[in-house]
Amino acid sequence: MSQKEENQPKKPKRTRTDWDVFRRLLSYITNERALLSIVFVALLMQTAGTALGPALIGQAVDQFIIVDDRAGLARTMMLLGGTYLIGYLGFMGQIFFMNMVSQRLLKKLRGDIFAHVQKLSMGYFFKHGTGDLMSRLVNDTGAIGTLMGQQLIQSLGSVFGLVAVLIAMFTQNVQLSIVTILVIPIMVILTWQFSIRSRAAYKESREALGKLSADLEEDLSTIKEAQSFAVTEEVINHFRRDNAHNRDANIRAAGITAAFAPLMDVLSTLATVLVAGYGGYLAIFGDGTVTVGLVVAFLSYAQQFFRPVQLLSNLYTTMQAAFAAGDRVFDLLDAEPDIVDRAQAQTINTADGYVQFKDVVFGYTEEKIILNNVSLDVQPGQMIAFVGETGSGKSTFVNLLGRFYDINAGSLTLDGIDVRDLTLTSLRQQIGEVPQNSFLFSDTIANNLRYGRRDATQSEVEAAAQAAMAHDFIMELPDGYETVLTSGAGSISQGQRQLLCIARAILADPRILILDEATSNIDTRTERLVQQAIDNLLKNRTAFVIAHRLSTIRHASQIVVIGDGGILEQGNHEQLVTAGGYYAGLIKAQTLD
Amino acid sequence: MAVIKRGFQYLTPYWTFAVGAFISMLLVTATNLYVPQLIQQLIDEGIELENWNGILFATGGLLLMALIRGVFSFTNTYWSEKSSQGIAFDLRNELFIKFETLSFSFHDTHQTGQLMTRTTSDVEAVRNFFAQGLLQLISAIITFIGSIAILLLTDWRLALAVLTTVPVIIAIFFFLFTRMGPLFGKVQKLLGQLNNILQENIAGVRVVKSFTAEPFEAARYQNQNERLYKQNIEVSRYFATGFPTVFLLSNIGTLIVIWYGGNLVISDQLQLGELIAFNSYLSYLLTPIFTLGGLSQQLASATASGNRLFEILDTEIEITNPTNGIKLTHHQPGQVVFENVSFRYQGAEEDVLTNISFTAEPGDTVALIGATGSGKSSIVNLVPRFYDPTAGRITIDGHDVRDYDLDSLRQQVGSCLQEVTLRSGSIRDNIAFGKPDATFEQIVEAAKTAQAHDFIMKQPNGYDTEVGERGSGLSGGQRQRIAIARVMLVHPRIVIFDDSTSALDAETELKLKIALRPFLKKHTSIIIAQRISTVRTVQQILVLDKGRVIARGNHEELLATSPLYYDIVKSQLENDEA
Repeated sequence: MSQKEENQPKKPKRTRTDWDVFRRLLSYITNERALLSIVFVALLMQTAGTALGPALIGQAVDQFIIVDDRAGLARTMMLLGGTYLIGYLGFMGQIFFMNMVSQRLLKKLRGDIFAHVQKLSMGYFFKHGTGDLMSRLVNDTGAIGTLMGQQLIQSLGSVFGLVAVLIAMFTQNVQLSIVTILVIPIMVILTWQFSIRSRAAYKESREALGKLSADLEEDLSTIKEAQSFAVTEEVINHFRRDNAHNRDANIRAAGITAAFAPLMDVLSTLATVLVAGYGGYLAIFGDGTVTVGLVVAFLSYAQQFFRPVQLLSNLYTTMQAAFAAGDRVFDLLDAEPDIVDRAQAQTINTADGYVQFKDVVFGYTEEKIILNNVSLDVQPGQMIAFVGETGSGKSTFVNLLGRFYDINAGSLTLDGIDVRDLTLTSLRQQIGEVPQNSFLFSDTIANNLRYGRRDATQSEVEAAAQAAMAHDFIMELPDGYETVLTSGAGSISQGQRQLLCIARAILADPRILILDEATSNIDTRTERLVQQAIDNLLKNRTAFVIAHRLSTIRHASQIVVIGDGGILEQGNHEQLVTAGGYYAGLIKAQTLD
Repeated sequence: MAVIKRGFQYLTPYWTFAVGAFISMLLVTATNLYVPQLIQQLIDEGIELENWNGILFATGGLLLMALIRGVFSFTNTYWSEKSSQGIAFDLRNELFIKFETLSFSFHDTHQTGQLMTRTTSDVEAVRNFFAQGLLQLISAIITFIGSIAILLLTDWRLALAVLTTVPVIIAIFFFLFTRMGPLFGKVQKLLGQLNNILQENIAGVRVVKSFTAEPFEAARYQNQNERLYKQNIEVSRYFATGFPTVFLLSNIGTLIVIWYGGNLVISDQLQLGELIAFNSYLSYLLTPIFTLGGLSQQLASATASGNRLFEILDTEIEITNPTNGIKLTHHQPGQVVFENVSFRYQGAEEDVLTNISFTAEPGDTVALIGATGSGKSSIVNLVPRFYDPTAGRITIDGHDVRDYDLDSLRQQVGSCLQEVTLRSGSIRDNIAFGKPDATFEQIVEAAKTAQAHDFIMKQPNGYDTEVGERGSGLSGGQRQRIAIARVMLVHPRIVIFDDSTSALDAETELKLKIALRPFLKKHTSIIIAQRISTVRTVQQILVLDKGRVIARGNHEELLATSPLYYDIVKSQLENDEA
């Protein structure tokens, strides 16, 4: 990607035809040529087994049983046994190796998506939400797996079967063959018609279910609110309506599918009847080319013929779902990360920590500029605190510094080098962060602390925990440093989570530190611990603090008040209080009533 | 089995559809069993004897059977769907009502995700059993027994020869299904772990990126991906050997029939048509075995789901509405009195509150202060009866809160919570949550009091701005102000602020305090706060420690009398000056 494009808005969504999606999905399995050729051979064996069976039985009836030839019957039966054995081996090979192909495809697809997601810039995550991305990786790959696995092979098998049966029929008797397939055009038209109707009906029922689950999720997560406002009755009535709508949509959709299968069944019986009637007629009144054995064989061909036809007609729905899923997955895979290393990007080893924002212009969207011509000089070792109302852009500075977003205009340098001229990895290694939500992984405490430095020794981990005032409570946990944290709330308190995040940052030992103060409620004693931990963390580093409480920042080298697209006030505590502006007002509001 | 029996009770309102579906199914099975007979007649009495009328009769019969089968298989599917959807509808409603009425103590220990699964997947598993499983089960058993009987009647020697393969097939199925269950479970578990890595990676993307842990994350995911792949291949080994073997065995059955039967026909002990018909019945024998194998899974999952559902439906609701409860109205004074109240959470070993007594007079504010876990929230949760005390009592205007009509009690006790979950919909709808019929003017007024009006007006569509799932798009402080507006709109007699201004900046908090002053002068209020500045002007401050009130008084009194209060004040000042 060229540098010029970096700040371009994302390209409009590309439209892919079903065929494009299919071809691209196929490209994933064509890598498995060796496996696929085994599958192909196995499938041929399986088809041969199923197709030759009735022919041999027909032959046995016709040529040996009717003319009382026991030896001939025995020979045919041996042959039949051999055929079955070949079919058996083919069936086994087909299932096993096709599964292997489709599992490999899924593995690769999942891996590709995950690896790609790692590269995408923050803007993408901001735009799409966790739920959307999860769904693409989980549900969409699942839908693709269903199609590209057994469905694909079954359909291919069905096609093979059809061809084999057709060949067997036509080589034996053309007239009877034509009679057998006479109903096919009607079936095609019916399938087509039904698929249109059932698609609409299923869309409706899927939407009804979607609404039901969305509302349900919300209702269930706000039960306490509903009870505290005594509005449960209304909530229940609303749910009942959603629920009824879902029920009715499902019944309607089922009505359509329920009619489809019997109709196909009647049509395939009609084919059997036609074969029997016409075949019987030819056997009785014909020139003797149509024998009883032939008619019997055709009766079984007719049955074999229509099984794959029905299978194929079911395929359509799965295909639709898989193609829609494929489209979404490829959208994700084609999304270009906005922020990438420049061609000549250099590596920075240990930064001094001199940060300069110069005439920076930035907005998360084109329409809304957050920072307009903003400049800020930060000397190594300084602590900068950002103050301002929610949404004013307090976090924006640090988002830009770590290149989670790129500036629209102006310049942003670290130690005098434009951050865009540094490799992303080396830039971000200079920066450590204590996030506001105290995010930790479901892993052991030790592994969480090592997150920024995987090779840290146990004693280094413990030293960091001690500096972060976390060692004592960790030792009180049943498994100490090996305690596995569960996601969300759970075993340890919010304040303790914050201490762990601080320890993690201390262990990573970055030159520049970003501290996004937690707003959550921590009791006074833990807060005192957190305060000490933060003091230890800030030592000898350039620090940016996004302040929600004013207590942390009195001793900041610079306090920067953000608002209205720029810096409103700037200076240390004493200077700002003396100036009597916004900050002075805040201090007054907090200490006096 | 008791579960299934109980499940049947849900079928009763839909018994006409269920019986209709059942009869349809019987008729479909009967026609299915009759078809090979007709084919036999077709061959034996029609084609072989060159009897045209025989052919016409048999083919006409076949067509008629197909039509009958078509009609009834439609009614079978449609009516079973109707009855099963009805069951699902009733079950979901019942569950939902239960969830909505179960007390806080239930919701404290159950996560939304779990409750979602109960209402969706578990209900669906039970529904599937009643929609298809049950009828398929009966149909499979009838077909299986019917086919064996017909086979024996047609020719017992052939039948006995063929039936030797059946136990082997059943044994293979049994082996497969007992082995596959745990294997599938393992696949599901690995998949769950894989998705969990993904979910955390996306939720913590900021942390991943700022610690440049992308390669580590990719390796971790790939590792788990590989394990899942291997487990899947393991499963497919069973698939690949099991199913083809069963087919081979059934084919061997066919081989026996034709070979042995052919010899019987040659020695004139069997009609050719009989042989063909026999061969057809053979395939009927196999299908039910397949079906039963699949059904055992379905039955197991329906039973497991049913158990989970009924466990919830049987959970006792602790907080119930008294019969003929007194209506609490807005015109009462609203005096709240705690008399020696003790409280312990269900299953806990220690009391969280011990002997709490205090009186909140109308127009007065009581402030609660203390460390996390000191019992502040527990106290306020007892007033609107989110929990009931284990000892002592709480009265409003002299009546025990348990004697009030529950809805009227909760309407008059408004709680502003610290953690606020907004619902999707407009800001306006969210403020009107507790009073859906409020006028727009009332909503705006409430929002103004809560200091929410200004930021709402700055939103793209003002009050009609949609807030996303869980109120995303709004900051914590904005959500808290909407929560306060929501309570202000209901205009309750008694208000509780459970640390509900923790995310507000100091300036906004001050404005809010001034705006609330007239309201608080006329109403009873209880405030929980972390910050001393919030409670400084309150006349009655209770200092809590480990569930006990260890000191009470106003700010100045407490500074003099309570070391803990002094400590808290000191630490906050230290922080401010640190």
